[in-house]
Amino acid sequence: MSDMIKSEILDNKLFSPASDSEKATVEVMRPSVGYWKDAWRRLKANKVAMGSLIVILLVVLAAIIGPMLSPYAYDQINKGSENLPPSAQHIFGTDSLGRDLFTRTMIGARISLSVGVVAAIMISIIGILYGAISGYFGGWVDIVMMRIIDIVYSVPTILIVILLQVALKTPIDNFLNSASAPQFLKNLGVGLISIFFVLALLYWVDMARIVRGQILALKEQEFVLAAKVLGAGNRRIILKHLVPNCIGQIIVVATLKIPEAIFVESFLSFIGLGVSIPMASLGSLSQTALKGIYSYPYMLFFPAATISIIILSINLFGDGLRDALDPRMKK
Amino acid sequence: MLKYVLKRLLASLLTLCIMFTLTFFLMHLTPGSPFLGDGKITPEILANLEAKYGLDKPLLVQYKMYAMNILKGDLGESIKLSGQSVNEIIARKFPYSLKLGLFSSAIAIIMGTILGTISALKKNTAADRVIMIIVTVGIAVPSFVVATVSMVLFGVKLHLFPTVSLLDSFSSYILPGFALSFFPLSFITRLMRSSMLDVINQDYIRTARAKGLSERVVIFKHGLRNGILPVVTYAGPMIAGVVTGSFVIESIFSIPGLGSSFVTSITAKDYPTVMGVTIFYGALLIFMNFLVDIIYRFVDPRINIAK
Amino acid sequence: MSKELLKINDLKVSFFTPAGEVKAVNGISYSLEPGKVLGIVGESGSGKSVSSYSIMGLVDKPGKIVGGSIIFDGKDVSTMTKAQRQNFAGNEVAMIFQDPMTCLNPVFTIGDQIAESLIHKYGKKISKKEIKKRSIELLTLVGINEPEKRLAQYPHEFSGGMRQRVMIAMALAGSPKLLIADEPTTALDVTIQAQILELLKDIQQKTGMAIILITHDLGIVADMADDVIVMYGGKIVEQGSVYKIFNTPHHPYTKGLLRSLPDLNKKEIN
Repeated sequence: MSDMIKSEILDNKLFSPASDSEKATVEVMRPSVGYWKDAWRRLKANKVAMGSLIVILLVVLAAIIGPMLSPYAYDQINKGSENLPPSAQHIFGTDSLGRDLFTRTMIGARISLSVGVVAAIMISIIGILYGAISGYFGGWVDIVMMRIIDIVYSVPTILIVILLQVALKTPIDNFLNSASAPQFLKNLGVGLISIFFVLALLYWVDMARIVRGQILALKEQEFVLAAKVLGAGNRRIILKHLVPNCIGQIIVVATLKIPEAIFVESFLSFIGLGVSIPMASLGSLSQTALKGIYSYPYMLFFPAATISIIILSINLFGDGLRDALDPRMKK
Repeated sequence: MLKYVLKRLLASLLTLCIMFTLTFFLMHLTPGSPFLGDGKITPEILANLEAKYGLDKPLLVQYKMYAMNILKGDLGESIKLSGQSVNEIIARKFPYSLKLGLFSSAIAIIMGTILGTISALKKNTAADRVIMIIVTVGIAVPSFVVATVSMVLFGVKLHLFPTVSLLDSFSSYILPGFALSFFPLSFITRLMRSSMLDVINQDYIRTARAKGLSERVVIFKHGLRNGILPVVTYAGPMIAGVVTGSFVIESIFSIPGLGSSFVTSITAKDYPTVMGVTIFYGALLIFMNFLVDIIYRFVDPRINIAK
Repeated sequence: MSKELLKINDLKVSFFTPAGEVKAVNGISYSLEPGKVLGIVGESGSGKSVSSYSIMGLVDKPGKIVGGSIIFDGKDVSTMTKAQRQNFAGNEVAMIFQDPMTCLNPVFTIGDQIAESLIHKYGKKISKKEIKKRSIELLTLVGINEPEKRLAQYPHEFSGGMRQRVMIAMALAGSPKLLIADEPTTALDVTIQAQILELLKDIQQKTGMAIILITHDLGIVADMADDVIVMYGGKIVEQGSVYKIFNTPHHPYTKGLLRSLPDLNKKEIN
């Protein structure tokens, strides 16, 4: 059959090569851009994420310099100006001891944000190492490590958080009172340190799972083999070759862990297990406000609104970050 | 199937054991005694009390004793509320938490599924945007804020619903139930939306249309049945979490449930109560996870032969 | 009553994307007689699938039929109401798709999914016993062993070729006058491809229904089709009987297509 269709039947004029200008019209390549630059470009195009980022930066700025600008200290008791509604002197009003609520809310935001960030870093370190080891070595190591994750998953987190919080308080307290304790830890206080412990101990599982999944897929790829052939040790392969390749997802998970940690902190502080008096956190401020909720609802409004804004904006930013860093993860 | 159930049951029991051990040592390694708070106790009385509750024995002996009792279904006796067994406390208080928890879970699942489906089908319309804004806020606002705000607004200002709730009438469920369900409802809505968006682009939906089925059958039979799978997975731990995690809501609305007494017994170092409630809640959570696993096998036939 | 089963006249389908209107099908006309097999060939994006989807009313947003008419058995498909169209799809025209792995709903049994088509055809009055009897007949017809046992199974328990057989059985449940097969064998192994094609030929002979076979595989067209349409860029570049197209192609694109076929007579020099 194809014997009949010889090339001379085809009119070669119809198949002349495209001219350069014709080629240019179908040119779809753009200059190659690096991963981070590309991600940043996508992020910039996302209005919600950029708006959230601005809100986050504003809150962070307010939390850092707000208390410095305020004429009142967060624990300064002003006799005679108790339970004041918002006014020019006290823009968020005062509490039942006459303490300035603006300063206290900003200090609370500072605490909440630092809890979120520090916890996210601790969670990431534990989760990355755990997940990377589990995924890289595989076999029975993986099985055992995954079983442990299953168990951590299936314990009622909030109960264990509360238990741990109570149980850890005394040993940490003893440690802080000993001479060898560094000053900055003393400044943090028992409540906060135990919150860090609790978060670090219980909230790393998501990170570990995601990193493990990534490593499982990555370790079969040729560059790992190449590194092995070149004599790289396991430690080097994990830290230099595998982990950097899932950095996008790690950042996304870590970002989304910040609001989660803030949530837990505010919850614990709200039920009276968080920061110790006179330190303020957004959760403990809300809890204090609850007592006078009928007469002074504004006392609840400011800390509650601040915490909601923080969590909302970080959540939205995290979503945007996910879309930007890993378009495949987009839902 | 039976083999799978047994395997899961065994794994659940193991988890429960580990949780029990963890709780026991966590509680007991904490220095301080539950009796010290009272002030005027002489060392002799203290020794007597500790002997009565077995607190003077070595830790491992206490552990063994306690474990044996648990196996008999006896969670021990409360130290603070003398004369009351932990079993009694749970039996008296848990029904409140359970009722509220189930009510909230039902709202969350039903509303979340409906809103998520609407949102997906009406993607990028005004309805979708409004729903998404509400649930995005719902995920960000802590439950105690939702609870207090709704209490002040609907209870105190508008007098629509009672603010102190004994869960004895339908209207007394509304505020705490709404506050407790807002987060899971928002979460389920988002879950359902993305799942439905995924499903309605699947080839089998096109097949169903090509068969000439009505749009209603295509969406609600072929679409929903697949779209709801992630919600089923989430629902088990969620119900357990909602039932057990209502401390805040219970204390805000003065509901005499188990959550609020758990918090008080922790600060009071009432070991047996804390242990008992933890084990009870843990068992509940593990049971719910187990249940979901089994149910999932029926809803998604693909899982059946795996493993 | 016209002799043609399907008559498409100057059909235009466009997709309205943010980048502007994309004319996927740009004014095509053809007709098909009852019991004939029409092959539509062309490369990806040539509009061959979209033109057939529009017969079924399966063109999704942002796509839209912007002109022309589709007359099936004397009825104008494009002016049908929703209810009429639902009655039309499945019962008059049925369709099978490219990837049988994803075309069956994973959470319902094969029996359920076939029953759905039968109920659609015969209404609610059809008894359970009748459904079962018909379903077993259909599965037997498409060559599935132990049909009774198979009815209670889920799609994941079937292989790709088996699933395509089930799809065909489902399509046949409505006893359609026309079957549109959109690349029915592309996703299958070569040996399975041959089996499915044999099955389609066999069924076509038994039932006498017409088939529109959409493919990019000229071998399949040569094997099965009576008439061929060659599409390129949303237009029909050549149409005619299979003999005419293969023996005396006129359009350069058709010639190119034919030339790209591997030739068994030529010795491969490698």
